[in-house]
Amino acid sequence: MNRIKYRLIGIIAVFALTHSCTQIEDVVLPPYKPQIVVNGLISDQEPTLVKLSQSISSLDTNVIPIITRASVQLYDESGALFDNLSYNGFDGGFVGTKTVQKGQRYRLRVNYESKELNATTELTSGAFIRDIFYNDSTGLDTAGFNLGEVSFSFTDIQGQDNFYRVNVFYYDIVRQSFEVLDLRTDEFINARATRTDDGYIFSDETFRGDEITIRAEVPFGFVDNSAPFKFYIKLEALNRDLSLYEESRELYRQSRESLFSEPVDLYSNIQGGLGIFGGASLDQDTLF
Amino acid sequence: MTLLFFTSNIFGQYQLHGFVEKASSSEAVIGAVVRCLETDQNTITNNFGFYSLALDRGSYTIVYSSSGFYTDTLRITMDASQSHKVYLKELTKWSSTQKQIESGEGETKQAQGNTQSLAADKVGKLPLLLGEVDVIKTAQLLPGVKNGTEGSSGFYVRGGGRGQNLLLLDGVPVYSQNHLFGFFSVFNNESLNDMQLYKGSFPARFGGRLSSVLDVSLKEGNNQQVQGSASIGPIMARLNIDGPLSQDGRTTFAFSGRRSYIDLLLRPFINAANSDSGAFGLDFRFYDLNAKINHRIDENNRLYFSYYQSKDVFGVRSSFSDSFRGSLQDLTLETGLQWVGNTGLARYTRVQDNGIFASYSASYTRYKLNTYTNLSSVTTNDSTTTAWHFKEAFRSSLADINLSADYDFKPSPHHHVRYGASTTFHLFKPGIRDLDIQLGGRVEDTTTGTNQNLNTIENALYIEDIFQINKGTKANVGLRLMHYGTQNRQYFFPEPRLALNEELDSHWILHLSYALTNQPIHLLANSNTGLPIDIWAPATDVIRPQAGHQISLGLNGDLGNGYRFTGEVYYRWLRNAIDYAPGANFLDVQTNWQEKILQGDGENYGLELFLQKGFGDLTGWASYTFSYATRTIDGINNGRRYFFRYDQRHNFSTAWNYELDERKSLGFTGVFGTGFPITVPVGQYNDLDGNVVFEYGSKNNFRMSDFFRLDLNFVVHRPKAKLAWAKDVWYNFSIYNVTAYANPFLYQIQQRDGSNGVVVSKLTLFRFVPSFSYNIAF
Repeated sequence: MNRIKYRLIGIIAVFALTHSCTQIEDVVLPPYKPQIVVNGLISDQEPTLVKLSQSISSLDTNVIPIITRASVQLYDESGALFDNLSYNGFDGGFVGTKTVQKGQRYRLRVNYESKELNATTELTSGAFIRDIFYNDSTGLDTAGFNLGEVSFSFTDIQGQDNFYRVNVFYYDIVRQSFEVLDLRTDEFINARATRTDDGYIFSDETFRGDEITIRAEVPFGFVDNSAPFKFYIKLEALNRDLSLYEESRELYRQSRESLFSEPVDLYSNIQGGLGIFGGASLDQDTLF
Repeated sequence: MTLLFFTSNIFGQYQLHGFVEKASSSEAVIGAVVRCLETDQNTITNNFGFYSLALDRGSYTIVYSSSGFYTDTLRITMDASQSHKVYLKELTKWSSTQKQIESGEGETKQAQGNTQSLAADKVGKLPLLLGEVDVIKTAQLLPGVKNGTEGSSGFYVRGGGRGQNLLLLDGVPVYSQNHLFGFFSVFNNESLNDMQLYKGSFPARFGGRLSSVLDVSLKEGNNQQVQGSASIGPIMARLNIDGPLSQDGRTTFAFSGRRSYIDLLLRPFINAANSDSGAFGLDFRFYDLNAKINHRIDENNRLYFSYYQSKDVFGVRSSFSDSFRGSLQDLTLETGLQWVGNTGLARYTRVQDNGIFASYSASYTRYKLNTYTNLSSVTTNDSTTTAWHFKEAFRSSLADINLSADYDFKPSPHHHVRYGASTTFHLFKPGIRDLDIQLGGRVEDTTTGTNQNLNTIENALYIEDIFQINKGTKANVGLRLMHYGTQNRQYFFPEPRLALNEELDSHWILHLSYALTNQPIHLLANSNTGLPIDIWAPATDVIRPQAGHQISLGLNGDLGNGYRFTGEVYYRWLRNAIDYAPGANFLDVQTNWQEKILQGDGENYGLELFLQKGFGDLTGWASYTFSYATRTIDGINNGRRYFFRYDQRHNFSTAWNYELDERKSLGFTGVFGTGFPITVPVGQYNDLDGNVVFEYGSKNNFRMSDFFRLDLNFVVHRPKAKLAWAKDVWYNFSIYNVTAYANPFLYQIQQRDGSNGVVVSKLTLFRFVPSFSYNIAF
């Protein structure tokens, strides 16, 4: 009797050990319906570029398919056809032939395999760089070398929420090329701006309608008097759609890095698909 | 109030009042039914065992009954107000069925909608996870109550969040709600006397939360003899002892404590694995303590003092040494989290000459959370020593100081009035981050955190009257006036409460209720992980208090032979319901927490069915809940309606206990629930720069798999002759999840290495978990 009892206990113990452990199993998600993705930018400096692709299931390991055959057209405020875009493999998207105007509204229409997608966006009137200064001796760094400072100002566009993207390039005498200057030595940029591949993005939340001055530290010796010019400054006033998109993209980046963050979807203004149709008004200046 | 003092004189009646107590220990019997047979007037005892009846001159038969006790009858002649204390004897297993049924009838007449009660001794006979009795896990088996995550001791009532439940321990709010990452509640079953769960339409004496009130009463202590119990289970041990402190039994005490010993069990294995070059340490423990002292000044005046403390510690320490080109580096990493809860209470109760029961209390409750990471290095070579460290800590806390006065009065046969007032000071520290860095030339010692100290005040006045409208209709009409003040804004809320009971016949009662409640404090809990990181934050001038309306309609009936049925439908709508904004990280103290929260509307409705057998060898219940819970909040899900995180369409729960004989009993629980929604990426695409990003589409867009679990429990009592001092010895064998069904604990979403796409996987924690506990009573 005891032998049977011990065997029974043994069987239960083995069963418990093998079954009470944690288990991880892969999950199959419901079928996903692919969507057309439109990534289009308009600018008052360059012809319009629209990249088309298709979304795939989140579980898919394949490369995301690019769309090269589609009808892509840009219409102006009056509804008249403004530009007809054609695919250019070098640019990886559909490129227009004209540049758009500041302060104007445009509609993008994409036709692909009997599907039609639409999006509208308006280019801002833009902000303008002024008062660029460079002081080549503002102090010493920790190694005892001189420090310089470049500064410039601009005034926020009145009556609306704005996002700006700024980038400053200096001429590097070692590389003999223009390099991106680290603007995080500016107190405002350090506290408020997000660093991206295309520059520092910030909102006008703290200087709404007012002027703002950016002052960035320049390490001594990086500025070469023999260069064609010392600094090249690029200021883009992003329109509302692009601002919302960039804001959501930054939130997305942050949420991807933390287990404790809520998920984020990128902002989209594409009717019938995903992506963004936005624009930026560019102002650029140089200091010789 | 003045009016109430004179009411009894206006009606020209006498008061019969007193206490109903257990014969074996003189502890209060809560919720006992007191009936006058001649007038069909009935009432129930309050949390102190107090009752009161208003009777005309004459002779009456008063019947005292309560589930689990013999019924007692008193013949009394009323020619003046008088006090009668009644002692009810506990039923043995083989007591008369007739007496049990009498008691059951009384309870049916007192049945209220939205309310469930559980006696602590019944909870202990149900199956256990890792041998631990848990009152909240038993409550999760009741209709309208959901557990959320597998094994969790959190609960969600009628589409509300976990922070919308008010947990009261002897009337004091408890903010620290769980142990061991949520697997065990902070309530030690051995220390409990009674538990009442109010779902949504709670009476006017309760407020400050939207979803539910879990009102837990501690044991007062036996005034006749010292007694106790102890048990040892797989992960913790407990001790419970109570008894008289004075010869005359007027002063009693009750103490209970638990401590886990996972750390002690693991320590030898960890020490064995450590070597000279490196060491690893794990600190993983929790404990809780309950202590209570009661003193009876005389028959009408009593003092109560109680204290509760719980603490959880989870810490990891790792250190190692390495030598490189003549230098020796010692590197130490410490990381962990702790959460602590305390409550303290002093209460004075008095039965006034006019029969008013008064309770005055002062209480303190606190919840504190700490997380920390310390990394330090010391490098030595022949001539120099260099050191650096990085220390980061996050702290969050909430403390309440409360003063309250409550009165309970029966001015006439048809009115039972409760009224009172309370003031609570909330002292919040939602999130503070300490950073101490000494690295090379960089030295930083900062404390950051938005709104480091936020003090608010919550005042309330309430009155409720349970009155007989006609022979078969009873109403509980109440009003709670609430004031909540912050530094920049004052809020005033009138909260009407109404409950109507219509006796259809001697067995069936129809009930209808409505309640408006407001909640001025918010729980910021992360829903993506199972970590017990709760942050409490106040309503402010930016984040408004949440508000909830609930209406419910139910039917309660006695089916005979101890069976009772309850069916109820409810509809709740919420205003200023909170949820996290997209991208919000609740541990990010750099961002003001008010910017991480968005508010909007919520809608919850459902049907609850409950069949209970309260008497006989087989006792237990089965419940079914159909429910629907959504939120609509600007800024989340593009302003479109989405399913609440704990929306569950169907839930079936059952819990039974069968007494095989005087020494053996068999317990069984079963749960089936459809899956909760979570947010998973459904698609992927290129962004403006060609980077792959994920598309979620909508919030809570995917349902976790269904949940199914069967648990068994076998209790056998075997008093040992060699343990003569022990009254009883019993063994508890449990199997949790008998069928080893793979229930979801959480879903992990991981990006694939080297290719596009993610892997979504389901993590299951508990599959067929047997446990054993050894228990002894003395």
